[in-house]
Amino acid sequence: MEKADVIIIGAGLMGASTALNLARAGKQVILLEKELTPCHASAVNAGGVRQLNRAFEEIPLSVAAMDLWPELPKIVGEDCDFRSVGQVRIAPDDEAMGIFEERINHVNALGFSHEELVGPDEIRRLVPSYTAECAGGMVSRRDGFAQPAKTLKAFLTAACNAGARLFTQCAVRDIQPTANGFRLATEAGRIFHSETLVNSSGAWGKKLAALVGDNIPITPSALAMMVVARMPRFIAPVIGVHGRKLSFKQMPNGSVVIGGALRGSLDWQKEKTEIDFLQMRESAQTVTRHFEVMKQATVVRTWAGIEGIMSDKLPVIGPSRNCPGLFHACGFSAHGFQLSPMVGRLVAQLVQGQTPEVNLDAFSLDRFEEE
Amino acid sequence: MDKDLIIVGAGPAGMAAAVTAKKYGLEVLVLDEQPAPGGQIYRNLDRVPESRLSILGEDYQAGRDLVSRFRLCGAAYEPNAKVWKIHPRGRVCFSKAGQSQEVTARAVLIATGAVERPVPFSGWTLPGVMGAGAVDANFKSSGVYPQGPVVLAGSGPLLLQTAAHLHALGVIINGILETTPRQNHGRALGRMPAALRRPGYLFKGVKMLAALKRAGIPWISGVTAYQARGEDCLTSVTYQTRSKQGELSAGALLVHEGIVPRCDFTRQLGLAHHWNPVQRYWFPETSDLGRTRELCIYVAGDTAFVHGGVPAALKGELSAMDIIAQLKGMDREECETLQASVRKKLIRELYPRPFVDQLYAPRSGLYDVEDDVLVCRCEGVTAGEIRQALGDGYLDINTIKGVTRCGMGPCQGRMCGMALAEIIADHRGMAVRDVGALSIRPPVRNLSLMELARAQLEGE
Repeated sequence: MEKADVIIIGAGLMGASTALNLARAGKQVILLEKELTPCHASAVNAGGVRQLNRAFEEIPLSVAAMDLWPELPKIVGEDCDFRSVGQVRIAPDDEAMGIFEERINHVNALGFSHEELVGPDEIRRLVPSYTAECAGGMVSRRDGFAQPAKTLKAFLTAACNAGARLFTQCAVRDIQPTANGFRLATEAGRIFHSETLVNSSGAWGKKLAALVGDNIPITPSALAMMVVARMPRFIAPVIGVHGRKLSFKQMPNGSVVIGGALRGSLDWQKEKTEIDFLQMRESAQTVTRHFEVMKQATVVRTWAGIEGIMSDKLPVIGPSRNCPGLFHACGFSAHGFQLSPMVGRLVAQLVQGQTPEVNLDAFSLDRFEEE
Repeated sequence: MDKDLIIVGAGPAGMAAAVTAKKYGLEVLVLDEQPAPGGQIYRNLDRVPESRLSILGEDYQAGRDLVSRFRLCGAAYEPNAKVWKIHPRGRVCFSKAGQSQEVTARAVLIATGAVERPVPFSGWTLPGVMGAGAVDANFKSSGVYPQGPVVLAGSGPLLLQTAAHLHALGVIINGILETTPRQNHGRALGRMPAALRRPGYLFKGVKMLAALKRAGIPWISGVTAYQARGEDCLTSVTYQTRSKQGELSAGALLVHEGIVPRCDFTRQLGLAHHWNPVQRYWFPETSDLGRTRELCIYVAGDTAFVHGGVPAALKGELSAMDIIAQLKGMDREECETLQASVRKKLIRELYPRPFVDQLYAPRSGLYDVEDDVLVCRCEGVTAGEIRQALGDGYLDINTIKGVTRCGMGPCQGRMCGMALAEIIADHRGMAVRDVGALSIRPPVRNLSLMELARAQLEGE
């Protein structure tokens, strides 16, 4: 039997970041991971570090998280390949530009200035290889990308160096509240005790929450991406185009990662994903239409990973409804990577009974009707 | 549904399966990467000029009957077709002449054969270093072969065969560096009685060996390691045995460290695989009829397990019979009688196999790759970088791929995947079978983005 002050279920980025903050605050922490780390969405996501075009509810959290990315060498001892190359969202027509303008006004009214409205000339300057229609766009210049597996490893290593204990290949089967906390049983029959509990199990968050009677509306999905062979450098920032299923970036080695809401099919029982090449074809059509240079590209690989998507695309960060002492941090709906350094800090504050430094009301489970 | 059966690969297994399936009236499509049928062993057989036939010998010409029966069997046949995805429900995507399309069938037989085991060693990326099997393949296709002086290194029947062919062509061979460990002889001895039930097979090997030795070609056995040397291209080969070391000048180094199943499609499909501890390779889980856990997917020939060309054809026949029985409801008794006679032939063909597999089992130390040697040629990743990642605490093979980029290039780990797994196993002190293998993602063959944009796909 193992004991700790806090047990964190799921050693992805949210779990690792939470563990780091709690361990540094002097808590005894155990991280339980059902597989080997780093794995799944935390390790193989597209690596976008993006404030641009987030849901308004997420902006304060995202902006606070952005301050931490350049500080990663101080926080976890390495930069995790973070490159602040900017993110650009292109408006193909005046209608899109109108939507952008309205958005930027609202963002400014909320007191934020990280997103800028720019004209077509600035877009052509930032993205000279863009060859389709353009009425302007939005830019967030501090944004960029990082290497997910390295980021997760850095947080895990830092957490363990601060005293957190990581148990891999420990899938939680059962959670029982006790007089002074929780008793957990794993599939292999190991028993763990703690006072408080954090559910940071990503796409598996709904399964975990159900063990204590909480209903989190997460749908596990297979998000797909496509990679092309190295090409001469033609683009610096990460690109998205309004109204198109298109998002891509050129990696430091010259290969290009293409994503943008591409879905594979998922066999959730077997946790097996299958690429849908009809969507890949559509993506290939979109990419080559908007970037002439990509007509020379060669696809070397596609992949699909499992990610938990919430019904309203916003994560759950906050206390359990039915089970005092349990906190959820899951359902990041394919845009949690950038938030993770900050989410860990906030969840650690929740666990310690402090008021989190960023208001988390928008992410409460209470926003959903009880069943 | 376009077809009853799609066969991927027109080697012995694929050709034999097509002939059998057509005989029973199945609609068959054969997709093959090569311009002519035959696979590796019978490559280009019905188009090769007479002058090459005498060099390539009886074993090559033995395929003539099968190739001509295949040509005449009436199966739809697409040469130069690169399959890039197989769907578990029987949809196959392939590329031909820059056009991609999808075809559908009630069953798919994967008969993609085997490849030479890629092994990184010091200098292996120098121009002039080639696979021995690749040299033979080039000769069959185009009559091209390396000008001497040549050094051959490694272990296995194919090494002997290539040496014999080059010798017959008058190429100067400066030496054969045989890496077969001496203790393999002892271990193989127990398998000898079974092998002697097919003495012809062994006799061929002994004859080839004797001819090479008689020709005065320097034969160095007990070689524990070899290295390719040279500035811009190969100029010499250094080697070590337990008791001595030496250097041979060479314009070409032909290496051969055995043959392993081509598992890219079986991996892409996520089929179960097993580990062959003697020959150190993965092979897909199949029944003796080539069935897999996916109802529509069959595997035959060397892809299922490396047995060589003649057994591959028999395995192809067995799979085709089972597919016919499943799809057409062939009379059960007739089917079993037919299968029994093929099985009997197969058992006879396989008598020497355990002996050969044991005799030519890869040496220990095959993957003791020095830190500065490139393992992944596509992405330029050295053995040292892989060990560094392991030291940093990355353990899982697919995570190490992500962090080091080893196996992430255009070949998707075909060249480096086995070495990567062996290096991880060695470093972690565990068995390779517990390390697992790299995931293979479609497209299994590179595909231009424009071709994908224009592909004719049907989808779900």
